[in-house]
Amino acid sequence: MNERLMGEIIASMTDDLAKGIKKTGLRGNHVWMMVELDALPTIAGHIHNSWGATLVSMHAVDNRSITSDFKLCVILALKGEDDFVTLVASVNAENPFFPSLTPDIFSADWYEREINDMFGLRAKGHPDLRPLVLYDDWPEGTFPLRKDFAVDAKVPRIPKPYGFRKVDGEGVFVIPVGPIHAGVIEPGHFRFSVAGEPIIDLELRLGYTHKGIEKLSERMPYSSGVQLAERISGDNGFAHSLAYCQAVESLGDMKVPERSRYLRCIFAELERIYNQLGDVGGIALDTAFSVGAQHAFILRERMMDVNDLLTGSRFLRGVNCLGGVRKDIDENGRLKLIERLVIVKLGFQEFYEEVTETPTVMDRLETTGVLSSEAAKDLNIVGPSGRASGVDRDVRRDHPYAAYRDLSFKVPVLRQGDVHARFQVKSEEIIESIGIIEQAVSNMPEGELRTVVHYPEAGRTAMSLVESPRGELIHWIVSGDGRPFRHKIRDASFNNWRAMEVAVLGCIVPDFPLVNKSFSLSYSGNDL
Amino acid sequence: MLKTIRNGFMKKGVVTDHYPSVPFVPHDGHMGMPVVNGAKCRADKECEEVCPTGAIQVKSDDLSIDLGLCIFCGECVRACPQQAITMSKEFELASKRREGLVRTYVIEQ
Repeated sequence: MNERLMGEIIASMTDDLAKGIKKTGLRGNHVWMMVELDALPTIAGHIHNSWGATLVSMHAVDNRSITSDFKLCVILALKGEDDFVTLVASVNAENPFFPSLTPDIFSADWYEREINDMFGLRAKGHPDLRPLVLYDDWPEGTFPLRKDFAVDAKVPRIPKPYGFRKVDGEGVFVIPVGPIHAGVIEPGHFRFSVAGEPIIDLELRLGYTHKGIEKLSERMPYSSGVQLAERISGDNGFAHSLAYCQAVESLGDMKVPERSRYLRCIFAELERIYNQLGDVGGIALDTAFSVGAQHAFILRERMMDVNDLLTGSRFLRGVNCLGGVRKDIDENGRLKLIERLVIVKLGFQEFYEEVTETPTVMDRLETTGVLSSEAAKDLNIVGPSGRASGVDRDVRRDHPYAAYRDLSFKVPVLRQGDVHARFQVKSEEIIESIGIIEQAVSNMPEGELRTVVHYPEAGRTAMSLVESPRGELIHWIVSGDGRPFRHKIRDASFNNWRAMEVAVLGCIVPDFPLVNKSFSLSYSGNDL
Repeated sequence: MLKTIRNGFMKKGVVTDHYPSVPFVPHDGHMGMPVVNGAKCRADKECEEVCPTGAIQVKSDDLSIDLGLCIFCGECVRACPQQAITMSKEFELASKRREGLVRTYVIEQ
């Protein structure tokens, strides 16, 4: 970010808008703007709409112990630039209301509901402020992320019904599914309204695996925070720990050794490959093409085995640490990795041909679960699901981290937005990821794995974006005394769950598992 | 259909193992159950302090690791100044009772 761009952003505002800006600052590629609370929606809406920015995160900070107010942060990523705008507004602790952004930026919807649940700050003008994250029987007026709520506090449970949307009409049936599902998966409640076969409405109710990770992190020293981050969402553990480490490293001005940057790319891509293999296999399985699916699962197992071989953990845990990585890839490991990648690449081509040449599978995939490009942009759908609906955004390319700046890869983007498009994007990503690893292992410089760890002083702010297999995730940290003062985590699934409510409309109920699998959503990552 | 059969059973054969009749041997660096060498341990409690889940309890003459709390992160291995803890390849850790998950090692010095 340079001052010219910051000047351009401010110059593009009308005088009325610019009056709302109290203070601006520039740090790295971030523009900070302290804005009047009442001007927040219009300024955010202006940057979002006129500059084609996307809403990366919106969250609150309980700053009452320092400035006796709540801070509201809105982070926007500018289109086509590796630059961010952070808008900060102050919310009076005595009068916990703020004007809603949702009418201007639709994707702010869930963020504002989350802020309402966790901090008790209400968005005025928000169309729907029902609880999002907290359980139905959580008592009113108890806000877990406020600093005066003890981490081990026991709260009384007061059962009350959740106000589900009602769909009425002749012949309309409601099918409630979950929160406990058949099979060993996570909990979530889906409420379908159907007229005959087609689904005319779907409502999600999540939050059943809420664990209070953000609260826990506030009392964990930075070194233990890495392990916590690894366990936010099991199969995206490396991406989460990478984002956490990068955020703390940027807080403490640590410079990660070059070799570690490459290793981080390699492990991040290994994680992507095994996740996407599981997803494409799952898509084949949900069309009842079991034989084909097993080919993908065999390959996935081969990749997890190579993870274990290189790092001692099938889920790449314990690899990331503050200041670098712990595990190196030696010559022997490099040869085994390359050999395994060749096997998987050949095997994957066989799987891909077999699935795409089977008419019964393709018949189910094509035109099922369509998410239009407009809907994907409005909901800010990230990752492969967004790229299958024409959202050309990939953190690795647009905001490069680790060694991605030095590696060449293609970002597959399709426009159809159906299950087949998501299958196609994931398939192409597997091949691209193999290419990235091959480049990285041959170009990796020799050297140190870890730098000396400097713990940051209190009161600094940093954030890190990482492209996890499911899409863009963010860790945003304000440093405190040896641990985060506030740690905001936003997983890709928090954005992408909304896509389900749109994509299944008009589909028949048996297509739901297939559509669900194609979006590959994490309950745990969403519920935190 | 023919291709499915050719690519599947005929080409790949059987890919699963005969576990448990043929034991599974993990790779060398596998992070399995942490094991304490009682002869090396000096009960200096470094491991207890770094354990993120509080799975380790050090008393004057024994050290216990609760595998029900352990997340196999290896922090204790790195923290131990005596190198008394190692991550073994042992992964078959199920127990019929909760107490069966607690492993106690006698500290010999």
